[in-house]
Amino acid sequence: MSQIIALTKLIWFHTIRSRLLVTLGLASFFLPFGWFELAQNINVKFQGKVLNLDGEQVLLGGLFLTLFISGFLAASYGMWIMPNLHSGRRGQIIYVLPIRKWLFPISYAAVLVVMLVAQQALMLAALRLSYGTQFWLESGFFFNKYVPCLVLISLAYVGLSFYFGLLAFNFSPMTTFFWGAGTLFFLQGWGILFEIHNTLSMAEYFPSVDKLAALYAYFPPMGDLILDIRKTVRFGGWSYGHFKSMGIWLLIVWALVAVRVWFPPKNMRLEN
Amino acid sequence: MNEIAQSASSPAIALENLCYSIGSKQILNGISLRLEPGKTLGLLGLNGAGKTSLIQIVLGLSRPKSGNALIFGTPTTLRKCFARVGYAPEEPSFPDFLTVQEYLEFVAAVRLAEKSERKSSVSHELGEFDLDGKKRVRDLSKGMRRKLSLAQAFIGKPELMILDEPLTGLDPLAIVKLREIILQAKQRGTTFLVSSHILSEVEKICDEIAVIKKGELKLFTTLAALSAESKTVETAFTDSHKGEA
Repeated sequence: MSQIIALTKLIWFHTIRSRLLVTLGLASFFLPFGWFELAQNINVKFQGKVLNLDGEQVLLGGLFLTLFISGFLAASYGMWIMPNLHSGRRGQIIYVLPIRKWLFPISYAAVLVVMLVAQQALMLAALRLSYGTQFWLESGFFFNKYVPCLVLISLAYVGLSFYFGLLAFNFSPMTTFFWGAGTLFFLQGWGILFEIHNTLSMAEYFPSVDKLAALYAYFPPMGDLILDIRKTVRFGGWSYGHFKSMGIWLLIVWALVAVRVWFPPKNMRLEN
Repeated sequence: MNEIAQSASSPAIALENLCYSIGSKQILNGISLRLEPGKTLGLLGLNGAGKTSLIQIVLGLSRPKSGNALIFGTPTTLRKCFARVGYAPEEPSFPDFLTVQEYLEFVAAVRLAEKSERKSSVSHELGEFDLDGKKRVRDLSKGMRRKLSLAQAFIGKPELMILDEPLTGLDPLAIVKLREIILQAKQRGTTFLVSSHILSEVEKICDEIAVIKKGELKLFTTLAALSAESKTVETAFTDSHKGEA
């Protein structure tokens, strides 16, 4: 037990002492706060009618903004925090310590989840400042709508971070960024494309897209994340998110990171 | 019980016909040696002879092309042996976002189960190596980094200590102090594998020497045997390298 506490503490120190993550923390408050202030004061005119943004729409905007910042957090955490203890000469000294190697990804995940929850807490604090607490407490969506979203975001972004970490163990930061971001955009593009395809029932015009959609079902459902959150905030409950496949993919990348930590990469022998 | 009995009778380090290469370059060629528990072995050789590669294989950081490396009878690839090993690398690098104390506390938490033991071990090593616990690791000089490297290796009093060029960067007083610390640990029965270029210090602390030349073990003998032949470590080393400039 003392090993995992010590390891998590070490990674926590690294995370909170990193300026980048502090910057992201500030962004997690001020960007949503800006949006909430704006949402309070804007009227949308559509076909001559004035539409006011309702509570769900406002929160959804805040969630999407936080989601965007969390993506940067997860990617930078995976790229810089995860490989730090395992590369170069530093990796040698850590590698020969009698730590169970599978504890590393658990500690990495624990610290990242705390960071993600902190980001959400900052977003909710911004919401509280703009709208007060009644807005989201009285409408009863906190446990039914918001918590499922938070679980989904955590599963997705811890998995994403492990994916970036796995790349960073093997490649340079530039290659890691290229492949990591490229994969994310690719999956999101696919997810949105298939949603449009399904919503507009275009199978009869583009029958081959169904085959691609079947193939996409085996990929991490990152492309469905935004859509899942939208549906969960709108309808509530746990049935709209790809919790199971997100969880399976998280376990897969967790295992791959654990294996990578177990077998020392060649760059451990190089100067860092 | 079997494991304990096995490790009690096993050598601290056993290398069997170890070969290692990087690309087409042969680094180690057929190295075999045994280091018995409680002994101190000085690993000697010119720059690029293969000393650090050998240490990295012993620690499982590099994979040999052929041959076996065992620590207390356990293959180093299994890594359960690390609980019994302290390692101070040639060019130490640490998590530089920590203070010296935080890093030593981390190592103690990993090695020692008892909280009180961890605390006393950290403060003991801080004192032994004259380290300022509040200083950030990134602000340490080369010599202080070396001291931190040695301090973290000694935490928890491991049975086997592997020290790669431990004297590099240390001031004369620190060298004397380190010698005292090593000799005290030897009295407790600690086994040492020490790689060094400072032959006079090797003579003071080691029981055995192994000379590696171009990846091959040229000499593996005890200091008592050298003494019987009226040789010093320096003469034995230079004899092993006859014909070299």
